[in-house]
Amino acid sequence: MNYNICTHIKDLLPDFIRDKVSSEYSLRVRSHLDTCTDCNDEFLILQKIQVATPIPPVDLAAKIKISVANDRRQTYWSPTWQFSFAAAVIIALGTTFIWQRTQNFPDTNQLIQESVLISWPMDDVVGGIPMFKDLSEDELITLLEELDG
Amino acid sequence: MDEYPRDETVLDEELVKRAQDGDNIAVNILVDRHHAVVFSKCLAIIGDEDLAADASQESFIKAFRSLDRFRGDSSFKTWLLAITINESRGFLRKIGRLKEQVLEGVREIVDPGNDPMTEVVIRSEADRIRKAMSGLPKKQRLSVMLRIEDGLSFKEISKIIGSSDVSARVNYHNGIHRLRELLEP
Repeated sequence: MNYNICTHIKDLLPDFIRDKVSSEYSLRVRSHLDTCTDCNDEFLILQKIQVATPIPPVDLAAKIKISVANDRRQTYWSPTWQFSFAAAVIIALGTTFIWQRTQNFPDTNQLIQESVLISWPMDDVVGGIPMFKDLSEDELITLLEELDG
Repeated sequence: MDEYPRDETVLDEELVKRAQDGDNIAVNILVDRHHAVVFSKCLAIIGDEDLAADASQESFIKAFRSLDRFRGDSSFKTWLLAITINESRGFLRKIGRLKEQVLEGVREIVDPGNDPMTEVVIRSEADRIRKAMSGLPKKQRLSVMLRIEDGLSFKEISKIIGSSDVSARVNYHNGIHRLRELLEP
């Protein structure tokens, strides 16, 4: 018995019995087991332990799937989720309100006044003061006569 | 609709990602793959088959509830087994057991083609092994089970039982050594 080799082989035995070692290692382990009684005894014990693994009830997987599916549905609309959803809506509304308040929108009244000032000389040619100020008295009388006529 | 095969070609990591996105088929495949090892660990700690089945359900429910927190630092199986062992211990405390134990006479893997006499021998030998296992200290028992039944590395075992890699290895070898003494004819 070589202590170092045996320690290494014993570390590998669980993988060996599960066919999880490379073919090269598998050959080495098999060859060692043929010559080392101590390691071979341990190998036989491990095989027995593996075979003694209990199997679950046949309907266990189905029961687990149903339980998990129900729980995932409930979790989706649980009070926590409902609270989170409500909180998200409140935060969204609040953020929108604050954003609107902080934006520099033009004053509506100012816009209307600007519109009047701009349109004044275009829309009201006759009544607008700017149109009369440069007229001579004769021209003004002529204009008034035309309007009356 | 099942969009991907249920064999080993789809890795757990891929299934976990899909489950995190709400895919229930991926959840079901993960349950199919791991319910046996989860049940085995619950049974090893709780010692009662019905309670172990209940603990298995709870373990999966808790695992899938916290799936968003799974970051893939370890394998899904290692992470699930850590949850399972915590859940089983909690279950044990809940039902007021003073000591973790292993129940005798539970079902074991048998070949349906075996003749009755062979099956009796296999069951008898399995009972003897489980009795011997139940005599091991908790960390040794879990180290042996996780290494042999589940093929986990010592590093993975150390994460589950809460010890160092070296301690997990020592626990495993001491457990095997003790089992050999107990099972010697």
